[in-house]
Amino acid sequence: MSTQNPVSVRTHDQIINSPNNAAEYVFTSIDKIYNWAFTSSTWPVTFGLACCAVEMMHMAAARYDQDRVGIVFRASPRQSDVMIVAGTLTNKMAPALRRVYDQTPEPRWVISMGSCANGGGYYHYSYAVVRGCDRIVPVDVYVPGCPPTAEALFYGILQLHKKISRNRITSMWYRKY
Amino acid sequence: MSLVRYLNFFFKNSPKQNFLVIRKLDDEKWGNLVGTDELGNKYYENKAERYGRHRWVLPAASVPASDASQIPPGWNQWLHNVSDQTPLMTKESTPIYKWMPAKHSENSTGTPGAFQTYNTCRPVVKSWTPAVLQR
Repeated sequence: MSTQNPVSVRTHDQIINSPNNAAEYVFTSIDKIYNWAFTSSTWPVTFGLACCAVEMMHMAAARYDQDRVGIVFRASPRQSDVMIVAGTLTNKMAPALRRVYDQTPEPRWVISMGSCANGGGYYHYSYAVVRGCDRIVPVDVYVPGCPPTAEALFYGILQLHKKISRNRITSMWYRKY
Repeated sequence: MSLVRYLNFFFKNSPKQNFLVIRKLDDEKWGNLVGTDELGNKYYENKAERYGRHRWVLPAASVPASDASQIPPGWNQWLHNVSDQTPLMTKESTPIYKWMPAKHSENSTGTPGAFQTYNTCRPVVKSWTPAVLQR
């Protein structure tokens, strides 16, 4: 049996940018406003666990200046949209990470930063380390590197902005009925 | 003297160039056009600017569509001061191998063209073909 679908499937990008009918036009316009609001103020909660956190601070500092794209670090998960997991996630820290994720109001996103958060990295064979933070929380963007440069993390955040701008909250709700 | 610098560059540029530069770079820039790559990105240099600000790119893509991966590797090297030689200068001396892509392409993550690893596993989700019966 062929696994290929003969019906051409439109991607979220294509549906948002070229709606087919009036209803789609209305709902994707609402989606666009919603996505604009979230891409222009993605506030991350800083989950700095190791040396990656230093690069995360560089991104916040004057040279890369995250504030210009609307990223402001918040100390509380209840005020933030994104969690940047920066560093080695140990077994002892894992419940705390999950709790912080659960406290974040929806919609929420997770950026996994660095080799250790992506898949254990250098500590992959350690008995004390979680082999990737995607075993604990769902991850949207993986930023590779050990540690990734501030530029790489910034690129990851811009990729997340692209992902957010493909969101179709209201048009998916419309599609259900 | 940021305002003096800004006004100085503002009056040196043409109005159209001013519009493009301020729209795309959120700053005022003026310099010599060093080259244009195959995607249409324009590369400028102004040695009078502070080091680190003296080379920049005016992307060909619109603001929402522009992406850092649209810059070809040779120009990226020049832009980040790894080399003073632009790809235009090193065109003859650069060897061409089979594995090199003919044309630079941007990162296609999140699009239908995204990279997928070779996989022989049976798909978990089977696609469904809607069969429409004749009335």
